[in-house]
Amino acid sequence: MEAAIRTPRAERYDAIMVGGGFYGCAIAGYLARRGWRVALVEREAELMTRASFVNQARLHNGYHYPRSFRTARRSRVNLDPFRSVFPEAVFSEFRALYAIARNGSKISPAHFERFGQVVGMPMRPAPAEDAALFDHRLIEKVYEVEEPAFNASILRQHHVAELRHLDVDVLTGHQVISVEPLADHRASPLLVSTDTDQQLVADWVFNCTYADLNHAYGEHAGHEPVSDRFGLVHQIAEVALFKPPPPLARRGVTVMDGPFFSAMPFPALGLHSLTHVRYTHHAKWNEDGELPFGFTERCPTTILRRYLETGGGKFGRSRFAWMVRDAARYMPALAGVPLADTLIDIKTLAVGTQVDDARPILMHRDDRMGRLVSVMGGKVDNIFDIFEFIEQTLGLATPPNKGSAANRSAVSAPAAALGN
Amino acid sequence: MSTSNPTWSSIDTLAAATAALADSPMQKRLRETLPSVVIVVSDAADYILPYLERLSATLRQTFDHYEVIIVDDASRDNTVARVLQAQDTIPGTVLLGLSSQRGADVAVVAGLEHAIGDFVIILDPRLDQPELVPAMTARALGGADVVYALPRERVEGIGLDNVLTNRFLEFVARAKDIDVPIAASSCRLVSRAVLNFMLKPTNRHRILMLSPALSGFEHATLVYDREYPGIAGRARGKNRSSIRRMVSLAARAVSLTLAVSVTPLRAVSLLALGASGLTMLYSLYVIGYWLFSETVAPGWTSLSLQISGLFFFITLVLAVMSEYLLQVLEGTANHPLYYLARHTHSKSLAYDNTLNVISRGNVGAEQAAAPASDQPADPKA
Ligand SMILES: Cc1cc2nc3c(=O)[nH]c(=O)nc-3n(C[C@H](O)[C@H](O)[C@H](O)COP(=O)(O)OP(=O)(O)OC[C@H]3O[C@@H](n4cnc5c(N)ncnc54)[C@H](O)[C@@H]3O)c2cc1C
Repeated sequence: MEAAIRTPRAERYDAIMVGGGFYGCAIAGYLARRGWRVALVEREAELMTRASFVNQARLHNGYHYPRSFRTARRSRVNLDPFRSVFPEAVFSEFRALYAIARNGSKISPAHFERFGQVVGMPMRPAPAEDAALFDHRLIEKVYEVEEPAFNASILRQHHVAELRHLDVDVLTGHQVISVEPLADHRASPLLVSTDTDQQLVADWVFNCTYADLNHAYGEHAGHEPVSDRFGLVHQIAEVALFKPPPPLARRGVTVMDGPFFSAMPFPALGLHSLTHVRYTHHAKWNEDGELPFGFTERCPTTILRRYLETGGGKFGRSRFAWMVRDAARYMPALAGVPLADTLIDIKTLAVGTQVDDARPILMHRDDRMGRLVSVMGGKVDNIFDIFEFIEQTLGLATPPNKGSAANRSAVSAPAAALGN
Repeated sequence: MSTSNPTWSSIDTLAAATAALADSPMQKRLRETLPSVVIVVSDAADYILPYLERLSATLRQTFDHYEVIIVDDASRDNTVARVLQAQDTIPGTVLLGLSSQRGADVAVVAGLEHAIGDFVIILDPRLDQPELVPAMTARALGGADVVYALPRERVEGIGLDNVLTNRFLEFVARAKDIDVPIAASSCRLVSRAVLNFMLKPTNRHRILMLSPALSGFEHATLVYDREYPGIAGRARGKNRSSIRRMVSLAARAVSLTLAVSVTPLRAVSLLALGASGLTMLYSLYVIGYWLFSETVAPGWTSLSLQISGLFFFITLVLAVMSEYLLQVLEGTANHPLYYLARHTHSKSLAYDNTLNVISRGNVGAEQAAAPASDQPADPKA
């Protein structure tokens, strides 16, 4: 679309973003607004087509984490800033319902209510017409809550326009295959090469490649792997899309808290998404552990491609048949609803964060290349934490070539730092 | 669900249904159907692995999507270990492990309550061959919400146990005025609509045998020759006529009768009423005799007869009432019917993917990439 390939004006940049997902775009915009000369390199033909599009589109407002007060509180903090920065992208013209399952749920209605009180989340028992949509043999209680969805298409348009306005060089359709230091010291500028033989140099490189975080700087091209890799856990995740039947059209439903499902608006396509804790994740593996399906190539998006190729594509692999049948037991209105489309991509978590559902942003500075910063955003609305990190920990409020020397030697930051 | 099809509605044996499956529109409908197969196992370590392999090989030939729910009724041998091992290689299975032994009916209910399928088929892995599943599902798609698989030995009334079971079902069917084939076995298919009906009552496990019939939905039958996949040849006859099995059949019959019908309670209360009426008359007679007769002979014999007769009725009434009380208590105490000690799933959901690849002919390139768990688990495949 608008993000046509432009030839870079200069080879040398203040910063290069590897990966044009929500995080890469947002950081590019943030730095460019402060006078940095920024380039962004994206492998796909368009910006924001991977995890930043293939997701549940939930703007977490805390309800999802009844077992972690801390995560719940923190995810509430981000909603208002998000709403004020991306007002057009926030979709709240639907009734958000949280239903507590009668059997197999890790929380009870009493617990959920108490949790809501403590964290200060608005919730009330759902009106009778909403509660009547559920099978009460399986659902104990239904609450109406306030939790909007985001429109990933509008977020994309927002970033495309902003990056153009800020003169960021956007290279789509180019895959970064290596990042190397130009000199033999930690503060050396970095050389970024693409599979299309483009070479760019920058003072700072931000690796925002999410699932491929450990593969953007050359391991697959035979380069030396970075010294300390992220501990990442990957899942092949499916977000199935369907045209909501009338009772669901203006409702979003989440059944808590266990192997249940969620059916909520997917504003970018005007459909509803269906995800199911038991069926959405087709495979799960540790980046450094045993790979799924006996694959030998470690790069997660390669694994995904092979998985889809060998299984009749995304429709051949779809698990909608199971998801919708189980969901229809809880909400009879879903019975027989056909699959409209399905989105399958990698979902990545940092090792150690799966347990309590916390989704911190992961940030990391390479040992050898001190100017290579890797960023993995756990959630779309967490974005503001990263700006704080860039300013406070890295000290990068002004561009490196105009700013003080202090900015350049900001190599004392911890090798790995978590958001907040 | 009940779109009648002239050819399918006339099919009434497993063999005929299997033969008719070659019919291509039916094959397409089967592909799009998701059946849940519920099997209850208890100390089944000897035969569960080959059975699951055979079942899953049968299912994947016919269906794109399916699930096999294995309910372990607290086996004491290593059945659970065997099933967990099978879940590494056999896709689409769910293991529900009951925390304590609750009997086959409760175990079946546990399976039914977790089933997500359009149809649920209940198989007894000791008795029923997996090939029933496609045939019964096709028969259901041909127009029936309930499909009973009738073992030929029951239809023909071979053996005392079969005759008694048939007579019992005939009696209940007549008493309750319900339409149930008298040779109906535990092997049956029910649609989701019937399942919803079956899972509503609190005593759902007690009326399991009859609840599809009580739902009033239309049924079909398929006669089949049992293959006894889980029972070695010699043991079959022994198993059939063992005293333990007879006693357990009788116990289930009593429990079922009490659960579906208040007739026994009505009968004994009438009996008790009649008995007290007689007692009253007898008392009047005694008083009259005392008033108008000069010599009141000591009547020890009649007195003891009267007392023992009354006690007979009283104890009978108590016995029946306590049976009911048991059921009422069970319903009101709100104890969970079962508790799951274990709930695990196969590593992968289905074989369908590998099949797609192979059918498109690019085997060479894909084989290396084929999921390890998708390698044929069935040695015969
Ligand atoms: C199934 C699912 C459900 C989710 N649900 C929610 C939710 O409800 N709410 C929420 O807030 N968050 C959710 N998330 C998380 C959220 O989607 C991510 O946190 C967020 O999208 C991460 O953004 P990103 O920019 O880091 O990743 P991405 O959008 O994946 O961006 C990475 C980009 O890097 C590019 N890239 C990779 N390698 C290279 C290379 N070598 N050279 C050039 N480009 C490269 C990729 O093509 C991609 O565009 C969900 C995620 C998934 C997968």
